[in-house]
Amino acid sequence: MIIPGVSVFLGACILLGLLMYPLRRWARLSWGVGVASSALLIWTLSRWPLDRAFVLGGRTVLLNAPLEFADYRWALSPANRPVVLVVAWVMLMGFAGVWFHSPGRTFVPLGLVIAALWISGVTTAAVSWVTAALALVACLSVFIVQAGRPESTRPAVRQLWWPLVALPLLWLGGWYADEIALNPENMAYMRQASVVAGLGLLLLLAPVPFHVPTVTLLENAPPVVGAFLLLGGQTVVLYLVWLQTSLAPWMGEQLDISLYLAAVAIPTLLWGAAGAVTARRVRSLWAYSALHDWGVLLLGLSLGAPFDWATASSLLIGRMISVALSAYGIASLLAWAREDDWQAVQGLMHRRLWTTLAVMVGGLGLAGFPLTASFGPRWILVQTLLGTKTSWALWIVLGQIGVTIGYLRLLYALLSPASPRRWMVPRERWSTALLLSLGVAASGLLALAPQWMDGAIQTVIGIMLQGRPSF
Amino acid sequence: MEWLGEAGGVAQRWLIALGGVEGAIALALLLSVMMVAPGRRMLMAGIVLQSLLLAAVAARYSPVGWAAIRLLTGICVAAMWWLSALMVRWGDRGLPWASWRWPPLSARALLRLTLLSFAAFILLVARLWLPLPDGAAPLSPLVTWMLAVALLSLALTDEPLLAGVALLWGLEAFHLVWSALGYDALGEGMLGILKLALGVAIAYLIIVSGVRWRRLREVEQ
Repeated sequence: MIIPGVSVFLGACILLGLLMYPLRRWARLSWGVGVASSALLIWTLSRWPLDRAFVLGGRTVLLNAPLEFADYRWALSPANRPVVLVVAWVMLMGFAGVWFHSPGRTFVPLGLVIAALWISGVTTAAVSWVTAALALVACLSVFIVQAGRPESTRPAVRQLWWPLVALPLLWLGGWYADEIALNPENMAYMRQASVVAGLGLLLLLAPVPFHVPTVTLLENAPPVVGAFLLLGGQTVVLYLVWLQTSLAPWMGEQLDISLYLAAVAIPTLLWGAAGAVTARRVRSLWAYSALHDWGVLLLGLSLGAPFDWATASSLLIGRMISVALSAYGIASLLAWAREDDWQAVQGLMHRRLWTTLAVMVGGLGLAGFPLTASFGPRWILVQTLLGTKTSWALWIVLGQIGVTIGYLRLLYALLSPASPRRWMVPRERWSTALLLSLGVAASGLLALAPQWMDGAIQTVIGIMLQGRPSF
Repeated sequence: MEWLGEAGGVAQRWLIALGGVEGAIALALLLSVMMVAPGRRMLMAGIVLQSLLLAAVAARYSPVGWAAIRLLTGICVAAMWWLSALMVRWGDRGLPWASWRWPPLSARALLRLTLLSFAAFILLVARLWLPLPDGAAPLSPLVTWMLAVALLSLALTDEPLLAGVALLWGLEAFHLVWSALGYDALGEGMLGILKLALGVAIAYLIIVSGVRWRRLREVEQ
């Protein structure tokens, strides 16, 4: 009997999650299991051929064998393999981040189950399952966002909003699409399916004015949890956008997706920049910078929507590095400081150089600043836009200036003379400093040699060009 | 319901009779009262009653057994939230987010009543019912009202129990439409699981929120 690779991945994540829950008090064990399982997943997905079997516990495992249950079918394929790989990298980023500052004991066990749900979402071609997985993740995420802290429950409650509202819309869109198959001449159904599903996708993409849950999450949740949920969730949502537009190519005829995406992307990137300029807390600055970057990514996606993903893929890679680096820096900052307003971090650069450098480099990366990971893709995007839609390029540059001003204000606070109380601030552990410096170096190297991203981007483009998902 | 014999048959007839226009009107009124007067006992009794009425309405479109499962899911959610609310004595201590008392109506309840009346006026005058597919078209006014109340309630508060009830209304409204669109055991099951997951998440947040307010009050004292 052949065991499908998906069963092994999902089963391992869920079982490890269940096993680690009662053992969560042993933080290092929990951290080690989370990191090791993510690293193993990354190695398997990037090195092991999909059609080569291996033996596990006396059973034969084949990665691309399908798993079937009820009407659903999950399988690893060349099309979804890079997406699962991205999810695995997000897992590694999240679990490794526990090293800097523990975001709560339940993070690793529940994070493994959440990752299993994400993987189940991106290995199926059923839109209804992907949306259900996102809704279940929203319900589970409440526990790691709150993590037992007696603080405001607002960020946790808001995580429930859009997945639970988008699910009915996308299911209804799917129902209309099924009816079209029975009655292909009914144009009204086609229009309704496009509008309803498009609205559901818009809510999940969460541009302005639907950005509140994302910003609240990054402002209030533990930074590593925020980055984990943000990056993993957005990866699955982008996969869902691709899946929906591939399964229903007539959506592009019914809706001008490119125009709608641009219409929400520009306010998003400008609103993010405005929030960053006026921010008075490190985490607010980070949250609005990430919103600005998301607006730029949506604008990149709009250039060739729904089928050209080249620009969006490269922007996504830069975004992931910048968000993760910022999260690590802020987590290291919060390991010592309870507050993160300007006054609380004043003069901190003199004592915790690598922490503040990670916050700055990660944040400026979200602005597409030179010598950061996002600079290359941003530069290409602006160059492309200058030739076709000059005003859009100017909006991006204006937004970048706004976010950069926000970070310059932070830099000013960090470099200000420290009060005598700050002289007692402990320096980072050497291991923390080493990890943060590696992150800063990686971001800088990708800026200097953006061609290193080419391999990953070409893989994604190749998959997207195949059009319909093959499972 | 065959396995329940004669009693099951009677229950089934009652359930279907309850799911008519009167049942829909009762449900719409119940939701309005729950939104305007969100006391702990009112909310919990309301969730159970709403589940019964929703099961009755759904029984007209889907097998009665599924409607019964829907009722059980609603009771489970209400039980979880009741236990959590009881543990932190939700609404017992004049907390800022649950300060409603009877009588008199607080400004908060008055605001909710005004907004609800305004929404009802607009919906009734302009007849802004959601354009649902043919199979679910008769449910359109009820579903529109449920969604309107849910959105209003969600817009007015981030308090876990009240936001949870609003999200539950949204899910229930869609569940009603889904039941009317065709028999789909998998969809029914997934929606049931989702409602239970929402129930567990909100129950946890009710406790955390209660602990937080208790600590804040202790600090103030």
